[in-house]
Amino acid sequence: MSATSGPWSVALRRLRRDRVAIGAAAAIVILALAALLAPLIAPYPPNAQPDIVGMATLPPSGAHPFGTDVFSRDVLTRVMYGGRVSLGVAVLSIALSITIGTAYGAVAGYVGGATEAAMMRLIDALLAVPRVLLLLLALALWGAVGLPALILMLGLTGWFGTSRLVRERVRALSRGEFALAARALGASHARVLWRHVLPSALTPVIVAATLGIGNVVVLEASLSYLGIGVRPPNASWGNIIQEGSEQIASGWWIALFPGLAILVTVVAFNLLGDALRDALDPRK
Amino acid sequence: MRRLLAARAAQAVVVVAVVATVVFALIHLAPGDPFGAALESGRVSPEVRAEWRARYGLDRPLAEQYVRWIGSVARGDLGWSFSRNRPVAGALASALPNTLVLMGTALLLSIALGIAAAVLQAARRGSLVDRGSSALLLVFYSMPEFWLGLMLLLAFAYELPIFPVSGVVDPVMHEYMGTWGRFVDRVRHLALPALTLTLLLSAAIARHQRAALLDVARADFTRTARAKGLSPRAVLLRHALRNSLGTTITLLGLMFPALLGGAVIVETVFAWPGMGSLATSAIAQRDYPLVSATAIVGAVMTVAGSVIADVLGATADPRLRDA
Amino acid sequence: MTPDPLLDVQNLRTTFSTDAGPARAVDGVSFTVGRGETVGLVGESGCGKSVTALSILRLIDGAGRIEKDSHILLEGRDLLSLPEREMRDVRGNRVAMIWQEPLSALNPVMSVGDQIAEVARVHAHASRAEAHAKAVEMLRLVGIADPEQRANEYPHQLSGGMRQRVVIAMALVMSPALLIADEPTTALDVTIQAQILELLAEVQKRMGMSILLITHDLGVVAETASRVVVMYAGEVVEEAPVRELFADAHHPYTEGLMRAMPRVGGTETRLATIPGAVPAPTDWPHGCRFRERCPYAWELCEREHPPLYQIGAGHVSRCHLAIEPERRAHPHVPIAAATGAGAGE
Repeated sequence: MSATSGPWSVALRRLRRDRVAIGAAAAIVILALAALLAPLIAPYPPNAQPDIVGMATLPPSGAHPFGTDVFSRDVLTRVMYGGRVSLGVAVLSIALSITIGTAYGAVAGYVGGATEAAMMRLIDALLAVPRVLLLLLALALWGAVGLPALILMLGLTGWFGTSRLVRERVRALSRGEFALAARALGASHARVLWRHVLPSALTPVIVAATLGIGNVVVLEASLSYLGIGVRPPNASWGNIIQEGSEQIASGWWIALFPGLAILVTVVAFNLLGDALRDALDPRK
Repeated sequence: MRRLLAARAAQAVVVVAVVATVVFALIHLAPGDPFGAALESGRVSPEVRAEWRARYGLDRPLAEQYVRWIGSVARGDLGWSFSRNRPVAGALASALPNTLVLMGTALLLSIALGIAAAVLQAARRGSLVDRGSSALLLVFYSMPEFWLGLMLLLAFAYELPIFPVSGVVDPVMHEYMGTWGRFVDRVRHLALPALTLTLLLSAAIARHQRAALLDVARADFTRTARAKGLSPRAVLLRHALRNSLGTTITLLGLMFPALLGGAVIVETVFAWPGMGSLATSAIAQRDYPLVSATAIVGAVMTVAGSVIADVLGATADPRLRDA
Repeated sequence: MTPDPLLDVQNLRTTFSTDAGPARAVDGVSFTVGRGETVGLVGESGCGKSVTALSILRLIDGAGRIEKDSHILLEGRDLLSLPEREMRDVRGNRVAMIWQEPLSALNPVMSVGDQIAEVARVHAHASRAEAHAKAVEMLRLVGIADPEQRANEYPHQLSGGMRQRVVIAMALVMSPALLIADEPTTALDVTIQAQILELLAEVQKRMGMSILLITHDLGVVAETASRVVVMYAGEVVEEAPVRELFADAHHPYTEGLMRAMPRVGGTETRLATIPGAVPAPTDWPHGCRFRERCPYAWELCEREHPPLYQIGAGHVSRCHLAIEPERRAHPHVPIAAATGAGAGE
């Protein structure tokens, strides 16, 4: 019996029947493709400023469906390139968060006792810190950081919740019968944890990660909007909106379209996450 | 109840200590002096810089600096703000009330709105109203707060100039208004930032509350209530709602950090002179004492929020009262 | 059968739609409860007895549905044709229910006094003070000491037996004509069980209501009921006066239940169990539904669904043994025991 095939194959069958989930997944695929293929399919070069006087801040038109910005750059092109950064940062930092969170939670849940209590107290404390303030402080202290450092910071501040989820599952499972059976057969602690406990504990983590991507997209956008996340000349949805906010009265489209891109992304990930959770729910 | 409060107070101390430690670590891990911006200019002579470093204990061993830092946080001594040229505590004192007004307004409105929406949805579960409003709530729930703020600003301050663009009061006319006029002026300035936060927060509350109500609707005691001959409305309002409020209050406690983070960003959009604006401008000016102080005050507010949530939760649920 | 019954359930069919197709949880059940009478409704879990109870109160919701040709007559009035608003006047007023698990049946965040008072508020339109006084009176009636104090307490502060007394008090506020008790003692300690049954008998004597006692425990029925209806796989399989049933059970399922019943002073060290399990309600077997677990089953049982045969006065049984009684002398190993698998799995 494989520990994961059961719930996952059932979930997949349920998801295939769930029209909302399919729509959400399709939206994500389209957004991801638009971002990945931006160099091939974007209508203009990413930072082209064809005519900074005559073509600045033009409203949406056939040639520029999302209009142009104050430097005469095509907003659609910038939103596509911005998607590469926004989605890439979100996916990588979530990957980092769930790796750290899973490792930490698994160890805490498996060792138990006072070590576990101390580890989880620390998590309680860290969860009580407003993440935005922590990131503000860190990013302010470090000054201009590159994308890798930004991903690192987002990842390092995003794993507390995951570790809690994993700890709960591992606690329940590692005291469970099949873990005992594996131990009785002479498997080492690490092996029991890695081969038997973790695969079953990961279900809620996958759901949380899916829901979390939306959160990180918003968080990165907020930081970029505040001028301390992704910085120009790199475009991200957040810093395009930041530039648009300065033109809000004369060029609403600059802030509107990247915002809609964020909105569609986050809604899609939230819907997919909800659908995944329902599909994986053994009670249904 | 008393035991609960004692435990929470102890936890609060731990949280603030952890935050103070993290802040200290960040400052000392960061490249350059904590006073980099103020001192790293060519006009400041090395002697002056050394004097400053000595005055702030930066030439001491790290452990000693840490102990002093924790001690000063414990005493509530938050240092001197270079950018404002006044004590950090003073700068905080003038910003905090504005943040509290904004957050308090948004919190009260969204609890009322969120719960009302959820009750309506649960009462008509599966109907067009339920599904339509769920979709709408999801959209608001998924919005970045700064973008929603910008869009509201665009709609109701620029296109339809109903509300002012920024600030707490009209910078020129407020002085000349009567009491009522001043009140209206404040409300008009509060409207858009509070609306931004309220829309987002009430969406989160409604989503959670709806799920909680539907959960309770499956509980045995709601069946008992129906077997007593209560109408669906009475079952929902008198039994289900009251039972599900506890989890919503807990959620609010857990959401408090996110709410504070949201307030920080919304304040920036509307130039609302609260903690968020203070923090972002302190960052822009690399005013580290002020930045660290806002982080610590944020942590204290978070802890206070979760303690309040616990106390309210215990009031709503007698089982917690005896815990 | 009673001439002018208080409750007359006729051909009750309650179906749930599930992923595996419609589940006929209650499939053509008929029985009556006379005025002032206690009827035991007996069967294993999954046989449909609780769904029958919920159907009488029309508390089947979501995926469940009571079929059109069912009738539930209370004092001659068909509850199934009442508008929902009138049905609410019946619930908690003419028909009240007590539950298996008193802790989960009570609202954890409402004082027990308020929960009892609520019934008087709804049905008697009592004022707050009147309703509270009524609650205290009911708590005293069900034998709770210091009722004024207890009325202000919450369910988690009471013992299991006291909670069940509260549930009973709540059910008795309006002096209902019919009290449905769904496994009222199952969740309680043995010593408390007897007290609760005693209390039910006592309030019945005082208020004269009828009781439909749902249980899997024939011992409970023996002590309290005058007539027993045995259910299996969504159907009534046997009905008889209690003495006759214990003296002369006809249906092999009833026999099995009797053998599974612990006897006071009994010498058996191990209780007999019925092999196999109740089949799934989405897939009742053809012919006799008990066939695979039955030690007497023969070819007729597979071919023909048995009707309710008249065995004696007020005694019916859904078993073909009624026409070939000599087969009772030659039991065999049931299919379910021989294959070692539960029939419904």
